[in-house]
Amino acid sequence: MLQTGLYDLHVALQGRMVAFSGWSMPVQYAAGPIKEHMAVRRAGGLFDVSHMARLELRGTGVADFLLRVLTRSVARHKPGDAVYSLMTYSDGTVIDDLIAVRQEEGWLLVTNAVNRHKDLEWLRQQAKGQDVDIVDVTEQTSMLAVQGPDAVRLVSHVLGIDAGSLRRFKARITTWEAKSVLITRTGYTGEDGFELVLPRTEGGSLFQHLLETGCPRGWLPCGLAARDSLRLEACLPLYGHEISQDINPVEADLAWAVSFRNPRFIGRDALLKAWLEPPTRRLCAFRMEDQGVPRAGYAVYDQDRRIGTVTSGNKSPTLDQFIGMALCDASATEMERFTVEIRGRRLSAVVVPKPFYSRPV
Amino acid sequence: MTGFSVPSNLLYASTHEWCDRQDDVVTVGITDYAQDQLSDVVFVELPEVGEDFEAGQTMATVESVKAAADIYAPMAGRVAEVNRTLLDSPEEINSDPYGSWFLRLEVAPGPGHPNLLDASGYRNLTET
Repeated sequence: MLQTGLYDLHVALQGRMVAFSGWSMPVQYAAGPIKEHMAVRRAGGLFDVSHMARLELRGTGVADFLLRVLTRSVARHKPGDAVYSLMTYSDGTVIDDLIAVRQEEGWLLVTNAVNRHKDLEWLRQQAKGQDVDIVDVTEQTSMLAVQGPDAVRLVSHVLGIDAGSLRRFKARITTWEAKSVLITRTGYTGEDGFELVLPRTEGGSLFQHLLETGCPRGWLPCGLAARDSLRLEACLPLYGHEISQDINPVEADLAWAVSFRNPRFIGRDALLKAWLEPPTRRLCAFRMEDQGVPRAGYAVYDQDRRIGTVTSGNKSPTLDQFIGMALCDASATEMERFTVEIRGRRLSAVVVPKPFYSRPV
Repeated sequence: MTGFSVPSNLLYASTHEWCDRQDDVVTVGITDYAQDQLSDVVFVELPEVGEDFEAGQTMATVESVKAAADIYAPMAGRVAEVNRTLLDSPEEINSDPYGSWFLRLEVAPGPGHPNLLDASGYRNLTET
């Protein structure tokens, strides 16, 4: 089991450590998932996301290489740009979703922990014969997510920078204790916030400092459970649930993350075909009308006809309702209601627009 | 692990229900250890009054942000009363597990609970 550079700190903060994609990670701390979730909505939350894969790409061939392996066109991006993208196989199914950050020298790809080895293998295979050097720096670095409406204030204060001037999906380099920190205005909670990548050994001291400074303002350390309920309210996809090798990006409403103007990416032909044809399946958001907790894998029905499967579901702490997303026959997006089978009973759910939550502007 | 409350006046099932027997009525809830393992409770499903259960049958379900767990009948009986306040305030199971009873069972007279543990037996179970 891998441990992040913050492992001892998690234990000291009463983090409940669980196995997650080969890492020992805190699923929650003493406050519990619901209080942690609400802290992020009201003030802020700190997450150790060091388990996510961080791959550095260097070499003269990197720009060309990324035009082939990413669905977004990265040709025009400059140092300091970050971009959400997918990687697809030639049949258009999703290998992974990721954030690519253009640095002064090369790119950093941040991908899902569960896909780290699959991604590396795919990228190295595609890079053969080109001047592309791929270095997995996951275990040499820490990554923190600092998320919430108070994030600009906290990060500005602790790092001594004007964090508010960094726009969404922009990156810059700053320092912490004389060590370089890559800061991006990104996140996975539906709130404003930042993600910070720094040397592994410095992650704990920065987390601790952010926590001590944020604590009186309502900040909490947050575990994987809160991270999941936050991203569900924001309808952000999770690999293995809303996107996978069995779901194409058009079905998952991620066509916006595919740039057909990029003529070269792997999977383009299949995705163009999927984009032009009427979709057979679509991802729907729903809230339960009858009381029950929808969970991934539960069956969705229209009368007696099975029309889909829940991909994610839980209690929404912000809305105080049971909510979920489901991959359904395309007709379901025009339905007002369907039922979700929860332990043998079909309970009524209302189809709602995505997302469940968007932060006040 | 220490720090979990295990009141000495109750009996316990190895599946983490507590039982308070007064004559032929048994009040059932889940233990402090169980609520801690479940994490934040968000939903409870209770049986109807008058339903009969054999020992070991699923009587109720409790769901947390993490998972769903069944509540098993600690002994055979008929549901005499259910605690409907839990339907609106399931989080009370986390804050007060021994005050948050799920239901009361009418059971046959006599001892009839050879499989239940006393407090020290249950504490041993949760500490191994």
